Amino acid sequence: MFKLKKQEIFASDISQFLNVQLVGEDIRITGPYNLVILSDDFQNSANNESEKPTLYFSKSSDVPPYVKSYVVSANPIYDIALILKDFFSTPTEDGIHKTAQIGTDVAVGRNVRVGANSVIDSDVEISDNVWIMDLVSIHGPVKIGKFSVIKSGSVIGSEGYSFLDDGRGNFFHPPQLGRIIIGNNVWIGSNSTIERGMLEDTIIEDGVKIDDLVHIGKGSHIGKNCMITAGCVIAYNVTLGSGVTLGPNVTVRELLKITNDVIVGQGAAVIKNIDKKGVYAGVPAKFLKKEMNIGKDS
Amino acid sequence: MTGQKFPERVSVFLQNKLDSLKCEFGSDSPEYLGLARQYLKDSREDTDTQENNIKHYEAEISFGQSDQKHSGIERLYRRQIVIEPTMVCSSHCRFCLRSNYPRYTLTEHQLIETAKYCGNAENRKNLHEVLITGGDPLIIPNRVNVLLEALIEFAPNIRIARIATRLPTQDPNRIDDDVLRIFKNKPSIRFELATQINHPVELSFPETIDAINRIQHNGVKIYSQNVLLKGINDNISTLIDLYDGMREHDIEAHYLFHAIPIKGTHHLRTSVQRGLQLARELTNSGCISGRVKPMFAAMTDIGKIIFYEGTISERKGAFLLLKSGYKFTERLHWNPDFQMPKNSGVDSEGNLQVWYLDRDDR
Repeated sequence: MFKLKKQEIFASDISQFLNVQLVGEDIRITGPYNLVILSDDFQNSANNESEKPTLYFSKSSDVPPYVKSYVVSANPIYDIALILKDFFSTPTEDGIHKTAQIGTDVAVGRNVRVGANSVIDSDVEISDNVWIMDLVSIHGPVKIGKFSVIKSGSVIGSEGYSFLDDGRGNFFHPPQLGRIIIGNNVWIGSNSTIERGMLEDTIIEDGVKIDDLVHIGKGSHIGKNCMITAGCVIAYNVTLGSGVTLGPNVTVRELLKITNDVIVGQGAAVIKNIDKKGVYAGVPAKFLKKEMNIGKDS
Repeated sequence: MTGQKFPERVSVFLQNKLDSLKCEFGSDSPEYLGLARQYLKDSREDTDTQENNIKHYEAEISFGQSDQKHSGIERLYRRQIVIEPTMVCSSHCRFCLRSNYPRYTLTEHQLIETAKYCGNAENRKNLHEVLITGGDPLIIPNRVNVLLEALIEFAPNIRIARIATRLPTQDPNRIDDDVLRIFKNKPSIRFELATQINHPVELSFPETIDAINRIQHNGVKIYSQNVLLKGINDNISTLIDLYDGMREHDIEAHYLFHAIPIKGTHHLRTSVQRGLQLARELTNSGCISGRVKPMFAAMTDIGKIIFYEGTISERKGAFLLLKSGYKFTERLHWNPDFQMPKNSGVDSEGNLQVWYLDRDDR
């Protein structure tokens, strides 16, 4: 998705980019490896003085004597991420790969990237700046919002797992004709599947981040800014409110509703509706506490 | 950063070029000095002179929920707004008109809010153009892309984007795929790239020509607004070579600016009279193509003023009274925060006029 971009900048470029003060020497930075987060307890940890020119990111101006150049940053990892994004990385691909197959009634927006051997079927609408990586299959009707990312190997609009008994013990598969509607700034990890329902739409709202190896069952509705981590299985017609976080390998039974701002711990099995905000865990999932105190809980 | 307010900064590319020019032509050669005097700090910068301007004009605007003025957004003219995403540059021109500005970079959120302002109901009627400058915006191409995408979404009235950069001459290898991506797949916006080339030696570098070609191959028109600088290009033969070179590489001539009276630039300024004489020689002697003739202009406290007959209406000591065609009432309409500079006023026809510090040629 991104590769290292080699270029040389000054430490003062970084401080002015981040709108923070540079203290010390205005050294030349030749790559991200010149950027180091100063440990909060540097006085108790081993001397991590670097031999190469180093710009340190410190949460305070209390720094060890070997630090020749630093910026004070309230959130060092975030600031370094901004530096990587704007100075030291470049996208690995542009445009539509020659081996990608794009159907005839596919509307492709501006700056859409489609990787090698991806197949985009008929009746698909892809908004501006969407990034579809290698070996992705998209089967319409599908709408994908702007700035969304679909990683390699995912299947969007996979035929829903739907079988009806014909009354004689035979399973009959009805056509799955519902739409897949994916919002803006959605991230869909590698080898994930999002199923089409028979009549109902499967909806992924704006800002949802889905990790690798996730299954979203047909007709489910994932609310804004949900985080669904690797290995989760969401059965059919599930509704997640906004801001729901599912830890790794969570399973959610069909037809359930989970309200806004719920966190479900790893490996949990949700078998009942959750209508109260809080943290849930276990098999079956039970209420654990009102909120997750990041840092204190880890 | 501790230390000097506007420290010397020379890119590795320029430093290598300075070294090779010194080696090839000598340290007193026009080729070396034509570059060195633009970028290397001179002790005369710290001398007290009449050149005391800290900013070239005041035109910041305020918008949004607070009445706080936004750094990095300026408006002087009806159809155009100036956006400065960053004040970072790859190298520091010693005559920079923004050398005394605070150093900052606008966040993605601030750029998106700026785009929304550009597309508000009032601006949709008249605002059609953005000048994206700085600093050098192409230092942070991804963030410029964020701004442009937001303009496309929130301000469809913006149809022209001019991007000002000296990267082709200061650090041409940075004109890479990330920079070129700015100009691609944005059919609703026409791009122009404003650069500044002050000495023909800058067009002798193959890396610079390659960078210019890469930009032009993306359908972007390049033009250059140059500065008349004492000891660098204030002679007719250098100017002819410069504009011939620009013509050869399909770079349009725009303004030839009289060096503005920014603090620390006294030694680099000519008189306005010398500039007028050179502009006349350059444009009326048949020495350069008519397709590459610049407009001689001053950047004053009320905006750009091109020198035509009658522009200089009075002289008082070292100052010239320059007449403009800007209407004060219109200026207030486009920028309600605009305040009349102390050295400016309104003439009998309602036009703004301004006292401008000249320079003698001694």
